[in-house]
Amino acid sequence: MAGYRISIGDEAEPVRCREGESLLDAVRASQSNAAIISGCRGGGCGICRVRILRGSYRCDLMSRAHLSVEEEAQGFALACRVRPSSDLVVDVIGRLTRCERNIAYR
Amino acid sequence: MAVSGVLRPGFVQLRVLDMEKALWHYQTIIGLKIVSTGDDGRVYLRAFDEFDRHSVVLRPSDSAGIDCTGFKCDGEAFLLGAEKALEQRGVKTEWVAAGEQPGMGTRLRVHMPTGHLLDFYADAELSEFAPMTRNPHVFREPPAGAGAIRFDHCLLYGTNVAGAFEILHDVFGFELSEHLEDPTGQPLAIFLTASNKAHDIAFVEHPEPGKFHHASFLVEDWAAIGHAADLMAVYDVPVDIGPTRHGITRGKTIYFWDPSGNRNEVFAGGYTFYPDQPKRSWEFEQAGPAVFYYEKKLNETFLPVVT
Ligand code: FES
Ligand SMILES: [Fe+2]
Repeated sequence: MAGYRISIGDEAEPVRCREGESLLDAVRASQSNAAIISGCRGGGCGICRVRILRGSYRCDLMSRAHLSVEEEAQGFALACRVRPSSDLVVDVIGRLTRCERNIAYR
Repeated sequence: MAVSGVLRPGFVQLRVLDMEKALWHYQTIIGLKIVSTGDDGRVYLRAFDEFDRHSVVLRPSDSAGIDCTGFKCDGEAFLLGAEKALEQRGVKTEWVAAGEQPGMGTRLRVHMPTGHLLDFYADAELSEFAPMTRNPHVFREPPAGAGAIRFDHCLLYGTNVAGAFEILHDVFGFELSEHLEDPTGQPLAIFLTASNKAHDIAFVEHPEPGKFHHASFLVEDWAAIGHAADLMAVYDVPVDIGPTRHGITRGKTIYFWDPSGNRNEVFAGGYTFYPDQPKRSWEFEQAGPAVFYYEKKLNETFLPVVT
């Protein structure tokens, strides 16, 4: 099968990402239990934040409100903007936790 | 004049990461038209049935979100009165010079406790393509996209919603049309109107100040919402939820995102507000149907995803 292997968090089964596909779209399309919360899919809301531990990729425009230059250099990225160019090892960060004290999801 | 003081939401200025993609979205999906482009890169747009020169301002930036939103008022005297009342309350204001946005008069800018900038102004140039008024047709030319009739309202997330309510109610004459309580019975989400509409602006209590949830555009009816949903499917626009209905305001809706991650809404209907009538409110346990009436529960993005 063509494309790149993306290992996410503790998931045993890697997700397949096609050439040119975003990391978030690959995860959304996969049957994997690995979950990256998906919001605007436009690099603006920061909800899909991940850290890329290994591998190469490029990123489309991402909001500086959610990703400083230093963080970007440390491998933090917004998954909806990440286009892998090799196999990747990824940690999911997200920011859903920030609002937990306000409301319980049902 | 029955509607006086604040007349209506007049404009919203949003930050976008990629102007070319943003312009495609606001024209092809929402149905706005470009009015002009400023030397600083800001692009001004309007909906087909608006009389004023522009209602949406897009500013190129490296972060998404809202710069400010403005309300058209009935005269200079009202603005001066508001300035004085705000000074007495210790609320920070400033005057934005006429022409800072082309065609706009001076704006009284209010620094809200929620971290937002709300502008109040009395002068705005009429559009040269304003709706016909003498033996008028319904439009000069058919609108594109979802056929947005006009900019309708913003929902803003920030700190101290109760403080925002006091300012908008006491100084600017907004009424609380409806609200949702938090588990302790305090207001979590408030819907305010300066007119006969179910809401002209809304706020949700949120730990970070100055956040933007959505800018909403009025469309005609369910059929228009359906057409908007078709466009979003065809062009693969990221949709948050809908078509559905809000319990609060009763509006029919789709939430979706522009290419920079700012949430938009197409909205139809909503009840007619009269200030003498009893107000509606929702218990926290009913937050699901209050927000998404048919689904009866919140989705995982309604509360945390903001710009
Ligand atoms: S989904 Fe909003 S930044 Fe990726
Ligand atoms: Fe809305």
